[in-house]
Amino acid sequence: MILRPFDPAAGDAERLAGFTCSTGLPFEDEVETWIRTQATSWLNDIPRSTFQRRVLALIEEGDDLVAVVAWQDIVRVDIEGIWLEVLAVESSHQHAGQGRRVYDLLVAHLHTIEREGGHLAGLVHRDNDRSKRLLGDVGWSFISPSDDYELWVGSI
Amino acid sequence: MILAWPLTTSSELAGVLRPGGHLRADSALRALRDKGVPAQPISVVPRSGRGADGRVVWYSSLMVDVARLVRAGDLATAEATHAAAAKLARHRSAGFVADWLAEHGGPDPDPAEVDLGTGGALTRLATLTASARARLLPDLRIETFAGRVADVSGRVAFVVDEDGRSLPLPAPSGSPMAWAGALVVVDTEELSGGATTVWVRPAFDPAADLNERVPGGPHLLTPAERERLSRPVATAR
Repeated sequence: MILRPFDPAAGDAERLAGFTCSTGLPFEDEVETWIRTQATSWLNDIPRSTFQRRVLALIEEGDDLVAVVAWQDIVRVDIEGIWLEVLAVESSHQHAGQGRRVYDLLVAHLHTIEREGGHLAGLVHRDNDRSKRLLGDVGWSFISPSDDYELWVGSI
Repeated sequence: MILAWPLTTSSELAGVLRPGGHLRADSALRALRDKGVPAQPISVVPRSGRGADGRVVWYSSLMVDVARLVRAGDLATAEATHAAAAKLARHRSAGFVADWLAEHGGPDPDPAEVDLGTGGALTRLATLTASARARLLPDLRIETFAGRVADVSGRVAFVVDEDGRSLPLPAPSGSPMAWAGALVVVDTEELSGGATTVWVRPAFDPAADLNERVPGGPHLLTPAERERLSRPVATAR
């Protein structure tokens, strides 16, 4: 698997527009819709994207799009590090430990980039047991509820 | 979330060092330097487009607390607060704010405009400043209140916070009605001899980011949440 930045010239916008990751659960639909319709706006929201060092990346295996990840500097909470906006495994690549492989690849990459601190944080839907199980396995902690979401924090 | 303007000037520091008195701005800076807690500039901004009317030098607003602690003789806490102020002055967000102010800012910049122009750097700087202040607050001997000036009636202004609580304040002299609607952070300090001083500082409410996957503004961790953060996690299975 390789991780590479979003590249409009390589037809990535079209690939994202057709990306699927939801099994039909509402919070999975939300992520899928965000990737399809809003991820590039999030990335191109200048100057916010510049200051917050936003990155949208594709994880591929051969010609297959395995996952989409999006991250930026933490600005939502008063700790320093990387904010994980999205980590979504494509529908046909889910299960069999793919989520963990994608996560490990992402963290290996985050070790190499410039950042303000060593925290890794994000919001997880409270009903998203699958993601919470993965985050617990890789050492993240539940910190606080936030409406329908929960703030979870780990380290890079 | 209402955040205080995270910058201050030497004039404000002079006012805090000698409440109600007259202390020159440069004397205030010298007094802080002599105590080993010098104010480190974040940004130097020409007062006019031509730079003909002098300049504005901005410092971390935590220096207001440093000045207050120096006045109170609590040098140990002043040094801890000064260390936090110096760290903020070097933060990446401060660099973005400094660059924007140097290019666009006058003596009285609009926080919302600065925040928009810096891609949220002002919000980040203000969030980290509020965070440092919250952790130091037990030692600062002040009470703080953030809200909007909801009403100005005669010589009294009413500041209402996000939970609907109201704080009456003496309205400023001059044109108090211009104060209506302003976002402010109010620090109330008990001085020796039973006097109370109220410090009113400008504040802002960060604009929503319409592209976030989950909408919501900045959040300051509570002590309990911070404790959860520092708790050792179970090793990976």
